[in-house]
Amino acid sequence: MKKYKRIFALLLTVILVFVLGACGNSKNNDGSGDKQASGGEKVELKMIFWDSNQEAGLNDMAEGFMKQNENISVNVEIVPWDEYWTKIQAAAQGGDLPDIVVMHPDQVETYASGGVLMDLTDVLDGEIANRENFPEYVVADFRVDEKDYGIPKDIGTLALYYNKDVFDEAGVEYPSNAWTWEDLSAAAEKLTNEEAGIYGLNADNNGQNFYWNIIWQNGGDVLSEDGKTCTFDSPETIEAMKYAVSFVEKGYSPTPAQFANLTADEYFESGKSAMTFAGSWMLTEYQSVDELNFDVVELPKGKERASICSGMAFSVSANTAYPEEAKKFAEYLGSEEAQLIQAESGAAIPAYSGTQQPWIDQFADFDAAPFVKVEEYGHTSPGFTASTSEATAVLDEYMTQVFSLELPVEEGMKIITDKINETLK
Amino acid sequence: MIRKKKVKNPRLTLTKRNINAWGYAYLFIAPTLIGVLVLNLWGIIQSIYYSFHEVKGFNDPEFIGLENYVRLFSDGEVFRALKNILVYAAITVPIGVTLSLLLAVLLNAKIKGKGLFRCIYFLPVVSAPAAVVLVWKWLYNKDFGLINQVLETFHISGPDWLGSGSIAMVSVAIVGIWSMLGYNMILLLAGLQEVPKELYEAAEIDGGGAVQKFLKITVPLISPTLFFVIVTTIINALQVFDTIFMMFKTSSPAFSAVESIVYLFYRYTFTNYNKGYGSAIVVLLFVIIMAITGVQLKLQKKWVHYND
Repeated sequence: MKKYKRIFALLLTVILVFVLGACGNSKNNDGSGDKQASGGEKVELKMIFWDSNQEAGLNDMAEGFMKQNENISVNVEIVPWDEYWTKIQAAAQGGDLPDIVVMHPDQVETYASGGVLMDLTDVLDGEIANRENFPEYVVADFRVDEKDYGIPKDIGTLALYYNKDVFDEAGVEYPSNAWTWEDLSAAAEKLTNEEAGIYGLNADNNGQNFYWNIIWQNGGDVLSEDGKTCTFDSPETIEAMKYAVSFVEKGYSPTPAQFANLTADEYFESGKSAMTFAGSWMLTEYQSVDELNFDVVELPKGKERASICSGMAFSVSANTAYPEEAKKFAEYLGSEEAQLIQAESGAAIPAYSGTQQPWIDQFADFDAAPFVKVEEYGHTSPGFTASTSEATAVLDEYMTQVFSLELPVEEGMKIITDKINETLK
Repeated sequence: MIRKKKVKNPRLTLTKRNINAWGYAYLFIAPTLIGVLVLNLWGIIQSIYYSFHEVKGFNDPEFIGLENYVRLFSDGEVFRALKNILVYAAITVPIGVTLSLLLAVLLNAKIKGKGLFRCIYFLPVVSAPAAVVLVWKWLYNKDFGLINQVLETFHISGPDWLGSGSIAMVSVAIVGIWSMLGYNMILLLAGLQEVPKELYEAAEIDGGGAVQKFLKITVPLISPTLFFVIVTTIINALQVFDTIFMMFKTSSPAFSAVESIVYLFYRYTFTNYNKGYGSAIVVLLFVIIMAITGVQLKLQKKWVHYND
């Protein structure tokens, strides 16, 4: 017994040493420290993002940069969306923000006015990543107090995805880019099959992925132009919301309680929902589901065409240990070359004008052009920034009740408007 | 009346011999002590400080006195979250502790495979919370989850574990109880092994049954351990967060029935960048836990027997 005890103790010690050694190593790679980059010294930059589907694409872009700059090495880290902002916040507070941070239009104001992002106005005025090459609304989204804080990365838009197999089985004609609201409802009705547990459309209690788009298609909006008043109770918006909720009412869509069990994406990927409004960023995930045979058309037209069209941007940490190198990298990321690399990886629609076709060409099984068309009529995110994200809590509580059919649409919109206006004061 | 002269305890006087003896003791607890002071105590002080200020985004704190607390006491969300954690604690503590005690007693008896069973019951404690919740989420799925499918075979229509506000807290509680059983069981086992076997034999000779042995011998003698287990279980129950965060979206219809105080704190501090109000919320929780623990400490005189 004594012999075994000794061997066990030795084994345990060895394992502990390895574990501690591994912990020590990763710590060394994280800290940017107070290194001076002089001449040929190795510079290490860290870039952070939330979508694991885009990791390969970002690594390709980083490699393009590293080829041109032998003394700089770039490390890409992916943190899932749910934890991304918490981690970024904590890092910014601790002065340890990664050198390149991908920023979101709803969040950039907090970080920029908090002084943790570097001013990149001169990069956008420069030659390689000039602001003229990007959609004006993406550049504007990252402009705070007359200064630019982000180099546009991509544009994300929404389109109508549909499951070809479910359509074939129900004998319904495939959607087209000429579809209207009536066409959508009619198809949803024919496709819904209660016994088989199949729904026509995912009418999810989600603004970005569903109802903001419907509101805009009816000429309504959620916030006034100056962003100071909530307009959920405008007649156009109420009418649009009634249409949005009608899918749940008539049983063509799962209810919020069902979406709490299976997400809208899971419903579509498993073939239980025939159609869904989803973003260009979902393409790689949907493609990875072998049994899913899908195609894409533009969102149906209400009184007008509308869809969300928002861009993300590369921001630079104000506290980076290597300001010159980080800025250079950010500039590279906004260059035509890098944006083409992004297009070819299929990861996201690049923001640089003229680089979108390679992205469309990536997809052989279906037509990805509808996403790029949105550029002509897109709306940016309503701007529920951190200072108004208490508005999100209002939506979580009351919009859920509206979609659960517990609160009538008109009454619900009035309550939401009043409460959101309170938080905006 | 004879006045008792206060005698100095020779063990406590500051002599070189004593410092040598305790020196090592303090040295060994220094790492943990420093860790607790720096990581925990400093955090508590800073939270209390922030609660009297407005700390939004990355801006500097602005002193606003009791404004956060005034808002706190008229905030319906806070009361709802408090109610939620009290419901959670009311379910998990009695059931969890009783089951742990039962398991400890059973696994203290002479049965085969004792070590194996102890391992199995302890596994949930060392399992990664994210993995645990992922699996439970699928078990709870209304149409495709294993739990409802098993209930189907008994012709019982399973409830909507994740989507219905009325049962959602029970779903969280079940995961909570499952996770803590092993830990409490090990603690109670340790306490049980201190109970001298002779007492049981004596009781048998006097004609005592299993239940009597349990209530009159076991419980009183392990009451210190039991007290510790109850206090720590209550404290942990009131701080529930992980399971809720990973199982429910904020837009889920069941969310308002499961949002805990710590979740509310997380929402205000990290999602809304409002550290001042978030700190006030967490200070409220701190005060409540202190109060409940204080009451328990007072009550222990009634039922906890220490061997002094």
